[in-house]
Amino acid sequence: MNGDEVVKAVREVLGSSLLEGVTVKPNRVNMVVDKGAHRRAIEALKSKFGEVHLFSIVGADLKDRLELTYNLWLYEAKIHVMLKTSLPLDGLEIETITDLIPGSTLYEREVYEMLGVLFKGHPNLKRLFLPEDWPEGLWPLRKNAKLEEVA
Amino acid sequence: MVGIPSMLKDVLSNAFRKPATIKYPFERLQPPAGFRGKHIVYWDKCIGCGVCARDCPAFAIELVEYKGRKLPIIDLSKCIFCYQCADSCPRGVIDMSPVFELATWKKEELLIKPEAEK
Amino acid sequence: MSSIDLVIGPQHPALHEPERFLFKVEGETVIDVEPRIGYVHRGIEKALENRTFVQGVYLAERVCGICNVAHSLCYVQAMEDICEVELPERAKYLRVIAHELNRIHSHILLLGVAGELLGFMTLFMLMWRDREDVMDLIERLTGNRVNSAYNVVGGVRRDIDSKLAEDLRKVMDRLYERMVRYKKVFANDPTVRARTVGVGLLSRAKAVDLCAVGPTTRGSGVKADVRDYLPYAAYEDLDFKLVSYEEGDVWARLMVRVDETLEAIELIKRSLDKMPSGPICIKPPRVIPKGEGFSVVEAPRGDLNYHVYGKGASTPDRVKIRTPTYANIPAVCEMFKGGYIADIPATLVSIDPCFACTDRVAIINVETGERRSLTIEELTRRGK
Repeated sequence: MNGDEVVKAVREVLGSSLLEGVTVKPNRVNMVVDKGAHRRAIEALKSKFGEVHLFSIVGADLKDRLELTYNLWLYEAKIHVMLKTSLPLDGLEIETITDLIPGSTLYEREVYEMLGVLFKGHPNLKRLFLPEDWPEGLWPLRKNAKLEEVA
Repeated sequence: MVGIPSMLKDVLSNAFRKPATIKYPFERLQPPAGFRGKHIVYWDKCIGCGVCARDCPAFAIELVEYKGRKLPIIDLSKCIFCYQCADSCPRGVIDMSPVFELATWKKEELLIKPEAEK
Repeated sequence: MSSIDLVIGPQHPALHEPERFLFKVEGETVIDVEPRIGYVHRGIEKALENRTFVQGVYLAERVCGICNVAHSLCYVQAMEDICEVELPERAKYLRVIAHELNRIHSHILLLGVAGELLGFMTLFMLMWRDREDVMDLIERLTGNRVNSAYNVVGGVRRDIDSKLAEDLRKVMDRLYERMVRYKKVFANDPTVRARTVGVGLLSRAKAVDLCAVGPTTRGSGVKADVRDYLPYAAYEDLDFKLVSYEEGDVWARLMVRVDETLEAIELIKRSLDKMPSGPICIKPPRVIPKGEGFSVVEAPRGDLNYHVYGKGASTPDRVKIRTPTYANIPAVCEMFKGGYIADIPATLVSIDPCFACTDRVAIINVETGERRSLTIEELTRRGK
């Protein structure tokens, strides 16, 4: 199984919502999808390629947008899929994937807490790492976060 | 009751072994060669390039003027003893020693400075 | 029957780092649990954005003291992924040796502490005495017992001379015989089996759904080990054998670690045999180019991954660390449900090692407001 077959299988389901699908290494595939299409992409990967393991959910503040990356490992195909989707900085909301992959509950809570992304439908979207007296609305990993007032 | 005799042999043989405790400070273990203890600085070789201060992860090295040259001061209270400074130095100015008993009463004694050596 | 809220933590004997678990208990059975973590959050991801990648390796290795080699290795590999450097062969084998020594000492630590929690103090003391031999070897190899500072971008910092290689072989042979004896104790001793067999069950389907990692999944029959499916360093050439057990209880998870220690000893001996001569380090670039790097390694507790964004400067743009214990928390919450209160320490110690901290557990009876404290001895003696 190589990366191009994975890209082809996802393109059949998503069509034009798959903006980019490139095999960058023998076992790594980069995929960029439209906002809101990540759930269908993960469902397609699960149904066609068997068991899926979620390595991490990475949120990165890239100044003009916020990029969410879902790092997935397909056990049988032995391919690492980097599923990326971009969110505009004034509309930080996205659907949850906790019903598809139950192990993502804590990862989504961390991205909410550090970057302020709201995951719609998450069963328990509360703070995870920061103390209770941390000020509301201060998202530490944003580039414009003013951390001097807390230090 | 089956498993107990298997550990019993270890327990009995342990009762006749030398105790593992080393009665520090009356008995001392010498650290092995290459142990990362206190720094030894060869001030004559230093060229004042500043790479050690740039690469220090704990920001513990500062370059100061001393008799017309730029020399490093190492603050052991901030140092994490990684010796990246020794690796980065192009002239081999910093070396390691096995000295690890570094506790002092005064914080000034934790600075490795040129005046103390000269 | 009304349920009682039982709070365990943040200072608790069976916890790896301070965490608080809020248990809902009916009688002696646990029904539900809610974790609260974050007591050791130090803002390392934000701090790494202000450190050059030469400085960042030392900060990354201080995320965890026990598996510090895994953290520095993963960070360094993520940087090498962006820059696409080619490592010298000798460096890859040296990295394997440091990595496996780290794994041996971490597993012996956990097995000793598991013995202590189950009340088997003799096993704890004897295993930790053998661990001292491993710590002496790590000190001779890297210069320090913990915080080894061994990996840098482009290779490793120190080499092994022939005297150290000979001593490594002698100590590994002796340790192998000791571990075979300990394996018999864990497998057959009736005290250990009574406290661990059938306790803290995790089915295979749940282990995959909850994305559990490391010996936690391998004790439930999932054959997933990073050294097997995504080999890094020199593992492709070393004939690595995966260890897994089917039972899914605390006993299986402890046995996975015993077998992995034996396999690690074999890996070190094979690396010493196969290691070629040559340079141990290449000169790394000073600037991280624009791009992304991802690296995953098998830390002693599971898979650890770093995702790094480079921005064309000497500091990274964003570093994301996902540690294995963090991934196992939903799995351990699943293991608690349906078990007894007295099984809580054994279940907790089976997913990651623990440091014996303080020893008080408070039970609050919600209706009467009465508080009772239990010491760890009472907790481990009750119910069994």
